[in-house]
Amino acid sequence: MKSRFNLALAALVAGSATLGWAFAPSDANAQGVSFKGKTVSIVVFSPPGAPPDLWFRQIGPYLSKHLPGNPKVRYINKGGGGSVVAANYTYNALKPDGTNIGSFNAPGAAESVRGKRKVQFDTSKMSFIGAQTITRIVGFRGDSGTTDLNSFVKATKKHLVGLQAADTPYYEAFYRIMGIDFQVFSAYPRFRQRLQALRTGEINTTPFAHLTWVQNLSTYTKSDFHAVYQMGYMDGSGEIVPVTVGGMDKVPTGHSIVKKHKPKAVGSRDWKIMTSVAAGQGVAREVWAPPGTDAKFVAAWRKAFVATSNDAQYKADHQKAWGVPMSWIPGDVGEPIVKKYLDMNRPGAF
Amino acid sequence: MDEILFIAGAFVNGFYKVFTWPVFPMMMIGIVAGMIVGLIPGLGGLIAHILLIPFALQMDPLNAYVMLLGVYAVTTQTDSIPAVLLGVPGTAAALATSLDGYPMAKRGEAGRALCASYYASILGTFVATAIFILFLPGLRALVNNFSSPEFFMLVMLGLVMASSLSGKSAARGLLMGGLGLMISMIGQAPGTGDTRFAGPFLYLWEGMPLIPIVLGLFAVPEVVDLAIRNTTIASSQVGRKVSGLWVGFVDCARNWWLVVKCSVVGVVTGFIPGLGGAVAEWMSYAIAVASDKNPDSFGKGNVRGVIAPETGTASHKPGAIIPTVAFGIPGNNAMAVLLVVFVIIGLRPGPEMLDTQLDLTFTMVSVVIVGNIVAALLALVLQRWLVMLCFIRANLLVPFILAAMIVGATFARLSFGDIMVFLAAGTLGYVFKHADWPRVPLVMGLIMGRIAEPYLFSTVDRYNYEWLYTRPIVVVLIIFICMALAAPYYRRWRNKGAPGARIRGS
Amino acid sequence: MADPETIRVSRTIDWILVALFVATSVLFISLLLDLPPRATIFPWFVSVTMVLVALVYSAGNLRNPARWDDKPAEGGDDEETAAAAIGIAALKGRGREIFRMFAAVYILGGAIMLVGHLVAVPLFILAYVLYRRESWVLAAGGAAVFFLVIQFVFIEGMDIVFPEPMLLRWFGG
Repeated sequence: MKSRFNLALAALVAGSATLGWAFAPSDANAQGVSFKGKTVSIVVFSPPGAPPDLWFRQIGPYLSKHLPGNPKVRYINKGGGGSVVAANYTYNALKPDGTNIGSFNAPGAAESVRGKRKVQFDTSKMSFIGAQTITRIVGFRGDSGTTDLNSFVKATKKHLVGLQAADTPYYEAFYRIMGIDFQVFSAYPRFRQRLQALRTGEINTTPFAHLTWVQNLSTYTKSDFHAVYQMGYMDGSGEIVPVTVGGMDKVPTGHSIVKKHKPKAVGSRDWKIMTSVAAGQGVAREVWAPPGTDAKFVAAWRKAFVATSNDAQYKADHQKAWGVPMSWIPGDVGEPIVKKYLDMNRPGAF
Repeated sequence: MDEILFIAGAFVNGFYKVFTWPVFPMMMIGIVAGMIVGLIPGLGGLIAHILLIPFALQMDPLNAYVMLLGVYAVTTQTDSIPAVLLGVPGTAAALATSLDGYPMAKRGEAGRALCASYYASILGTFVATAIFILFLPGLRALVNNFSSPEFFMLVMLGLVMASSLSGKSAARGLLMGGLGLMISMIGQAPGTGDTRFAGPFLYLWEGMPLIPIVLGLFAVPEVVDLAIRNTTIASSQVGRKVSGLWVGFVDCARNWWLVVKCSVVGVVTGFIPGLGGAVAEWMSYAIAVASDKNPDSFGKGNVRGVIAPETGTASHKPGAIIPTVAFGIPGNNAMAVLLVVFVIIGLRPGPEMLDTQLDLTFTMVSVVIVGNIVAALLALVLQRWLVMLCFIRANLLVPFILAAMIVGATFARLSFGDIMVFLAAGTLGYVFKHADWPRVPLVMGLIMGRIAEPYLFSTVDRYNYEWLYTRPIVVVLIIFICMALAAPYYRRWRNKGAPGARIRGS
Repeated sequence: MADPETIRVSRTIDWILVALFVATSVLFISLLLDLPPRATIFPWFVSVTMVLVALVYSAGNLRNPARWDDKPAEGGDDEETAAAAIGIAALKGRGREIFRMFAAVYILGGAIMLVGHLVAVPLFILAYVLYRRESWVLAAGGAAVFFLVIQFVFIEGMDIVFPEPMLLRWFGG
């Protein structure tokens, strides 16, 4: 029953791109738009050469192919500040003439509802174009004693968890619920430092982006690393579900582990904290148009992204480069997910 | 013995592949692109990589690797040209070279300085490759013993070596190093993500940019003084006729032991993931100063001050390839970008890159060697005209250098904040230069602080304070740090009151 | 030996710099108080060390004020880089030139912020070379080269997006 449920949800997400494209409103709104002879700009929330930058540079030529008039695409790199720099730039500096869009990640978007002084953007006034799903696969060293779900729930050895600051609340809440002894190390500035720490045994577990895990699966397997659980992501129905690509369907989500082994914790404050972080994974890499952008241009962009995600050549390129198919959440499907995610991250939400 | 033969065989196979069609022309495209961007202050290899990545994504993997590695191999070679000729270190890597290279150019020995830097690069990569072939198994073991405490102490060693050897007062060096560390702390705190010392400026969330500071601190004072002197850069006409081709070679050959020592430093720091080229470069420079009979001559145009950092930087490069392809952990920032691209193209990092696919790894290393040689030859052809820059009147040269610098500074973040930082650093740099406060420790603090703080944080979190006496490598590094701190005082005592090692005007 | 005026200026600058270091350290320490302790371990260590080293350095200066004064060049082969060209003495009587040169640097920076790289940089080259009474052909040629490089190499070729000029932002481009 459960697997059928998961399959249904996976199908929902996989098919949402097609559905989004098939539904008429965006098509109709995009009528009459042409970018012929123009250059369109995409604000990228990472420095040049980082994975998000390369992802956008790979998708750029296909967007050009599917945007009316086949414009030239250029990239404006605004890395740093947990993607708030890119969000501020998109909101304040981009002209809303339809030729400019920006990107930022889910934790960056969450900053907009937390009332911090340096956050100078408001997603409620921007137009959501769509997002890519990226979740976390949590890998363990073999000598940690945790190599699968069974050994995880019975763990006696302390888990030394290397983390990025933004994700920390999820893991702390999860470990509190599970009652497993753990210590968090969140000072590693980059993934590569965490990986070295995992290799030398300084930490014995750390999360990987699911794309990275699938890409490097053979290397990690030879290094005696084991995928034990994943953060999952929120789908259109509001449930936290696992990514199923690249064999990840066998890796349960933290939420499903809690449901099975600590059912009383479902609905607790820690459960809500876990949900508030995991919800962002579905809309992890977000694309927005600046405030004031005409709806017909937003529709054209939405349509171009959806068409790209269905482009056979792009699908093959994406699979070759990242090891998994592109999981694109179209704007109309993703909008309620983003809203839920932001609501959960407002001060005093739980 | 069998293992060395296997490694040597893989090297020969890998080296041969570089000269096959269409691998060689692809590498040449990368080399030429890398040379051009290396010449432009502030650009660095990243821009060339970004320009070539769309093509690389469509290419056969091997061709893509060699093209991108061609860029990687040569950018820090040509960046020494503006650093030596004009005193404009366009990258952090060129800074150490400019400290002695520019005074040499002022003496009319620009050709000699540049040639010495090219030969040092070539020899450095050769020696580095030889070290790989002989000691690869040992180096593998070394990497597995480097955790946060070792990283932290190694970075501190680099910082202390640079600070204690800079300027005539150790206290001034420490204060400037401390200022650099404080500047490095601006931005988001590692571990907690809290924004520190950034005031109301969003620009500072990302921390202070390195290149505008380096250009401001070092190049602005030189340009202002050149304009005020209103002469040519070279005060002597001797160098006009001397290409330096032979003299530079003799300089490197005479200092062969220095080349070997600096190559070892480069290989080890390259092999240890996450340290970056700055540690290799400054440790090499410090070794040159410490082992010289006349340490006072550094910063005034000692050719060893050019050979050492160039060797360290060059030998660091092939070193950094190994952890990147073998463990998926980039040896430096440039390799971090390349790793992502390589993986997209199809490379799967893993231990087999040091085993069944060792020839591919050595093809990559060979690109760095061949790239250095080709770039040196191309630069030598152009040298005759490049050196003429030193004989152009200041009135004509100054506006062009200033314009190139300020455009280069803007490449850091493409923000007006870059220009403000550049102007502030330029003003302070002028004061520091003429008040004889050493500027090198400031830049070192800025670079090393960013690496050191997260490692200190992780170290204390993970090991409390036991790491200070329970980890053998840490203990050895602490002894080295104490020696580096005591070296100037020891030398002063030995020379009966003569001033200690120092880098005048640095 | 440098003259008394130079020594006085040199020592004053030295004290100003030390005061600047101490003030920066104290400022950093005061800003640390608002941060969670985990974010302050390294800053505390560095700031406090800075204050201590500055105090030791100041004590040495008070005890022997002459120890860092400019000395004549040591050896005649490299006068350009020796103390005479580096120290404060080298700047004596050149205050106006220094001021002019820094004014030029700041004007270039300011102009770029106002009108952008593409306009300000070529204009600066043109103005500087003409101001120095050099050939107008060189001035115009140099300005044209920079204009072409910025427009066609950086903006068109490399897709580098320079920051938007302030005038354009204020008056709505």
